[in-house]
Amino acid sequence: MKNKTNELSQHDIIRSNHERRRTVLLIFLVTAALLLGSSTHPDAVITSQDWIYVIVSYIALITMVWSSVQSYRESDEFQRVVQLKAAAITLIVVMLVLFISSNLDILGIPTSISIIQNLSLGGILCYAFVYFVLNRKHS
Amino acid sequence: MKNRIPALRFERRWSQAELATRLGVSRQTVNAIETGRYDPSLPLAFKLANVFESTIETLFTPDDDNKP
Repeated sequence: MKNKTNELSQHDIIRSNHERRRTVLLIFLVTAALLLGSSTHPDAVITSQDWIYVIVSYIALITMVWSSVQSYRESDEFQRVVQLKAAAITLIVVMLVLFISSNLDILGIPTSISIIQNLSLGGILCYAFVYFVLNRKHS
Repeated sequence: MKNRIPALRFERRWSQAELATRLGVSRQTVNAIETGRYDPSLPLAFKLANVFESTIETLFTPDDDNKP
C-alpha cells in the first residue's frame, strides 16, 4: 500500500506549529484592525485615507489567506480535520447570520451595509476563535 | 475505538512528543489518538504498528457497539 500519510520531520512540525500560531495571531490582528477601520459611516465621502484602508485590508487579507493555505499544507491529517471543522462551523454561523440579516431586510427592518462588512469580519474572527479552541482542546 | 498505544508507549518510556517524531506527526495528533478522540487513517495505523513492532489488530480494538 502506498503510504499517503503526510510525513513530517520534527523541523517541519515545529515550523508548522509556529505557522499556525502566527496565522491565528495574524487573523486576530487583521480583523481587529479592519473592525476599527470599518467604523466609519458607509455614506461618507471617500477620502485618500479610505483608499489606504482598502489597499491595506486587501494586502492583509491576501497575507492571511496565504498563511492559512501554508498552515493547511504543512499540517498532518488530524490538524487538517481540526481546520476543516473550524471552517465548517464558521460556514454555519455565517450562513445563519446572513439568513437572519436577509430576513430582517425583507421585513423592512433597516440594516446597513456595515452589517455585511461586519459579518464577513465576524466570520473570520469566528474561524480563528473556533480553530484556536479546537487546537487548545486537543493539546 | 479503543487502543493500547499509551500502554505500549509507557513500556518503551517514550513521551508523546517522541512518538510523534517517530510517526512524523504532531504531538496533538498522538494525544488525540491515545484519548480516542481521533481514529487514525490506515497508513498512519500501519505506521503505528511498525513503530511498536506489532499489528494493527493488537493496537486497536473496536468498541462493543462496533463489533461484528
